[in-house]
Amino acid sequence: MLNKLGVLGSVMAFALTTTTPVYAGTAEVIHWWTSGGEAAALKILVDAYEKTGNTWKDNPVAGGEAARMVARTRILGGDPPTSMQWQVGAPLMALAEEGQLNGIDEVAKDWDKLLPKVIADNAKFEGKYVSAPIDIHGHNWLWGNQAVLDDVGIAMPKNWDELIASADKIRAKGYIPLALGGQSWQEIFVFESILVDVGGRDFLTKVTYDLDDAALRSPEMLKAFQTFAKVRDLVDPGSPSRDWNITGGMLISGKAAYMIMGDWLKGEFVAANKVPGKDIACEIFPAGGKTLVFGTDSFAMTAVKDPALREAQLALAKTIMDPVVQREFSLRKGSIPPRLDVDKTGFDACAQIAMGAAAEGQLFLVPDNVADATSIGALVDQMTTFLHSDMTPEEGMTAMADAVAATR
Amino acid sequence: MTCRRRLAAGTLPIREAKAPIKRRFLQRHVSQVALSPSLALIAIFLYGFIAYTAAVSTTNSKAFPRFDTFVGLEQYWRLFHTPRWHVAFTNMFLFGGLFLLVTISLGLLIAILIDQRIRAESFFRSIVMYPMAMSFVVTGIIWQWLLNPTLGIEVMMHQLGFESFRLDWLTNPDTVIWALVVAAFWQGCGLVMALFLAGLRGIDEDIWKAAAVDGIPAWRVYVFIVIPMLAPVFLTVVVLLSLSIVRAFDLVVALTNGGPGVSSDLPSVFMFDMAFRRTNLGLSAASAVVMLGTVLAILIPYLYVETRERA
Repeated sequence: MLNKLGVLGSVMAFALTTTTPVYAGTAEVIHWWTSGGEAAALKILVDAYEKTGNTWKDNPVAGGEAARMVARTRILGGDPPTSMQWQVGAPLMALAEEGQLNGIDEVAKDWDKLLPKVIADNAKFEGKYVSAPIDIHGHNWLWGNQAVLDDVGIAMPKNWDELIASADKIRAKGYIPLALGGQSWQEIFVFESILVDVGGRDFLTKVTYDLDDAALRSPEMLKAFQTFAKVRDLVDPGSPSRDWNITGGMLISGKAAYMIMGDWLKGEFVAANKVPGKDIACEIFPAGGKTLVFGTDSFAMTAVKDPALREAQLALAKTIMDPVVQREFSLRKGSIPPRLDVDKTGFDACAQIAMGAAAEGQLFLVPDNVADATSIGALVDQMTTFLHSDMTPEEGMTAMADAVAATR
Repeated sequence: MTCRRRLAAGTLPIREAKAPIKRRFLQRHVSQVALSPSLALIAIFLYGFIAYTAAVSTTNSKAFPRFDTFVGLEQYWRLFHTPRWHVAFTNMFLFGGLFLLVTISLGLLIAILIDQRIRAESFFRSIVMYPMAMSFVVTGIIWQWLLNPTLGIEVMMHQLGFESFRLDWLTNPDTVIWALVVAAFWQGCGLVMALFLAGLRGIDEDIWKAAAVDGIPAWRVYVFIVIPMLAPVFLTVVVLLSLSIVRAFDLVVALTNGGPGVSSDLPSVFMFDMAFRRTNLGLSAASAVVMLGTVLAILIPYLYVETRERA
């Protein structure tokens, strides 16, 4: 049935195009890009793909978790989609180890030269690319409402000491120092930036990748917890459990001075007619940390056997890595392209900072996609428990180290 | 059933004897035959999967169930060394106890008030019953907005001039469980009220007349006569509410998403998180088995007492 559809699709695609396509097939793609900006970005990819003579069979599922569950169920049932949106790193490797992914080296020969090493390494299984990366989203961004900063008379802080020191001045003018949505996935961005602040990139690696017991009980960790405890006073009483977009509204409307959030927040600025880098200042935080924590969406290629589907996969991988597609896609999505050689003009000031950081090898893949899910999960649980309690830094540190140790 | 069989044996012995054996079998076992498809389904999809879950809980399964990774009871050891599980497990009893207490006492009180032959009774009954038509997700979101200290009731009271008014249940880890109780009560009260009201309407009018003749005050009639007579209704209510306590998931997800921190986590939320966000099926299955064990520990003594009383 599926084979027949594939053949039919390729015949139809062939009939509809005037140019002679190199490949012709139908790719069924599961993804979770359903909101406005995401859909606009995806359209770039779909249009470019259909220009190659192939057909894109759209299968959107709202919500990343739900989409991944649908894809997993389809794979388990022996009826995988041709391709699906998937994060590089551990999630991709888990599928590859089960033998559920196809290598795409036929079209990926020069990708090692085009992609940052960390993305290349995490999109490959046993030396072969199994997924095509399409965007980079940075997480540890500090955003500052420029009008508020000007009113208070301060510049963007370079590190946590400066940020905390400026809090009193901000409060004196009647603003909230830090807009924070008190949900663990938002709070972890704050915590990670503190880890970089106290011990640099190496310390972040030891704590969040290795979940090293010695690092979790080190003096640096205690210092991180002391700083993190001060975050409790930087936020407003409405912070716990607040959604990120409502929290973003506090920054945009000038109720709060700072916010730490991934660069998808830029979509909210644009919707409110604010220019990132001008009305809303941005900075990879802490400034001297040389670390941009990031996540990358990619399209994983499932282990289909049918030659027509296989051709469709290769064509898709080629389209995704096309420099024009990469550029146009990220311009609409608010991300930056994984390809390092893409023309920077047209990107906003913050995206240009991120592209510079990517070129200088400052990318740091989000721990969720590297570390053991249960162990990093225990760390996140204790991080958020600490923030919403009156535990001392010493208690918080011990509780976190113990909880992580119990998962081994 | 027995009555009909006696009738057949007594009045129509000849026809009974002539009926084909097959048909007699069907006649005798009609209830078993009718039940067997659903019994088979229950055996597979309920007990079968309970056994399957128990089996998964002894493995180190991550994203997919894998039985080649047997680890014995290690997942249980892990579970009981997970601080978040302790929070979730304690919360189930805390939330459950408070929810039962508040919903039963206030539900009964409202039922008694409505039972006073008041005017526009159906209007009041509808008001109390309406929240039941809401799903828990909607309930959760409504109360999230109402209880949010920066846009809900607290702000309204401040605008009305009560500057010192504070309502931070939702953002305080020590009181967040009350926010869950309030929202769950708001949603579940209607059903409880309706059950009690039906029970009250079933009480014989003569009891009230006799009490009036003896000059007993109404509250004493309620406390010593009517409420004890409602014992079967209480049982129904407790069973229904207990089920919703163990199942409670959507309410937490919509109202607090387990926060602040993990302070309003419930075992069902923990289980879902471990299975689908943390891709740790083994640990998730272990928590499911412990949940089942807890329910059985409460249910078995209750069933024992029940069946003995009936016999």
